[in-house]
Amino acid sequence: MKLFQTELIKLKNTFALWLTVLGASFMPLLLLSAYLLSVKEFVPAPGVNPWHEYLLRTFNGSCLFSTGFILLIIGLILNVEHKAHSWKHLFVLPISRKKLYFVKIVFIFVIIVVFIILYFLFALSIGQFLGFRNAELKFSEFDVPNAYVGRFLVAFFVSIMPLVVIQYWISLRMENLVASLGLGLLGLLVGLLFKNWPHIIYFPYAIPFQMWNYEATGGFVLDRFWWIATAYTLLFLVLSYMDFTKKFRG
Amino acid sequence: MQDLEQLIIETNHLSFGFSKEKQVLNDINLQIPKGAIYGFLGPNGAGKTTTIRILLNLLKPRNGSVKIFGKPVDDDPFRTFSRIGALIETPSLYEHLTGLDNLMITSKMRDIPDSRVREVLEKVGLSSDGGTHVKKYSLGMKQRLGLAIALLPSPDLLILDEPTNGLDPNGIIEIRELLLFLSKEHGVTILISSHLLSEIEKLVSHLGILNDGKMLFQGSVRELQQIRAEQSIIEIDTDQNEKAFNLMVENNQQVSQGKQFLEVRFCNLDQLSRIANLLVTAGLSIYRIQLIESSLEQTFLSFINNPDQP
Repeated sequence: MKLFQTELIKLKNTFALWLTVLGASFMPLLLLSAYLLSVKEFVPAPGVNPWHEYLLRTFNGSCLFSTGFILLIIGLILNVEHKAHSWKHLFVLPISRKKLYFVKIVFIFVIIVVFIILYFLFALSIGQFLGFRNAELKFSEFDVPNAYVGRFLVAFFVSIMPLVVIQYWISLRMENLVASLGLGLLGLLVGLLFKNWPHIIYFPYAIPFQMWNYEATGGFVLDRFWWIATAYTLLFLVLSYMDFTKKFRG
Repeated sequence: MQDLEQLIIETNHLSFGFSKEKQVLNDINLQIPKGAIYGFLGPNGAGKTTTIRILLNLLKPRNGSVKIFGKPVDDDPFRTFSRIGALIETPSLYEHLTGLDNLMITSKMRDIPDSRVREVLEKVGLSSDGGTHVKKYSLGMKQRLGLAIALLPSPDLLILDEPTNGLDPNGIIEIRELLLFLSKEHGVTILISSHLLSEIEKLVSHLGILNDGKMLFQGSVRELQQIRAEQSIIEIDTDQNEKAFNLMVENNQQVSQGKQFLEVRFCNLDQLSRIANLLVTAGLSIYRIQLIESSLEQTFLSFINNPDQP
């Protein structure tokens, strides 16, 4: 727990914590302004739950924006160590490299989870606000489809796991924040551009985009989704862990 | 050099190279006794930092072994590291945080009580600057903070790589006094590297001189002083230097013709007096008779420049 605390201290006075809060509110606020600017366009047909369309936009926004956030937050967290040239100091403390490796990656996952939770809290609150402010949008007349949100969140989290692990490894190895970020963005771009190619699921950076237009009723886009994401996560976790503990000099 | 049981750091035939062609360290046999302040001297690029990195298990040697506290360093590194404070090259500092935050990070990682943080800040003279962001620190203040971080665990062994870099003369004196205090009062063994003998000669009890990856000298300061004394000469100039030269040979003095004057190897002050008497008795006019003592710095440089003939 103390090691975890030190990770938090290291982010004091950095952009990383602000990025987590402000970044999580960005897309929901964008949606809010879109709904407020053209209310009539978003008025649902009689009997149609407006939350489905709203949530679909929120999900797609998450696929786009959360992945960018993930690249940036991992880069920033690792850059704190690179800038301080602190690896040589950390490696001569009475702490195993195993602990150093896992504390940091768990911390990164926690920050990402906080971001996603904030993102959805903001999005749902804005939906409620819209229903309260503009009754014709009918948000107040229907319940939030919690199961739909829950299923998306679980699937989305699984889809980003390989991306997080790979980007963690890249950011560990590349001292230059711009370079690690550039590489990640290139991966995302390829994943996004070729998201409809049948074999793109095997490209780790493309897996989050398989959540695009996530169906409210059906299963996942591909049955193989869980296995591929889990396999990639484990594979890169093992490889990056071995590299960090055996070869990485800092 | 010392009773081997007393050695805190010991390396045996240590060799290292970043590539097969270029050997950075060659057969290094460090022996640092308990309680010593060991000055690890050598010009930039001699291999000091590489040696220190190997000692701290940050690099694996190509050949040879490292023992710290009598045990191989990779035997139980966490137990070993809990007794070591280290400052390697530039201090590793999070510049966007305050000095206190930086210390808190290491104290939490080492599981050291927070009260110790204030103690070490005071020890290095930064107690009033603890709340200042490190990016506003001068180079000297950063070195002090790095030293404070190294002192956090109350170490038995302190490994400091060029800790006086960036310090003004007052700062150097303060750090020297602090290290002497730690050595005398707490029995801390200290390995301190430097490329300038003048910075550490008043501090160290033992010296190792490294150049081009080879150990040129290792021993106590007294031993180095002995070598220095052996390099001292008496310069003589008279109205008849040839006659003076023969006189010295006849009286079993080691004499040679220097660039300007006759040079007699110095043994002691009595010898100086005897030579003066001999010259006067022989009726020679003495223009010059002067003891030229080699400084420790010159002795150090003679090791570096003529590794085969110190």
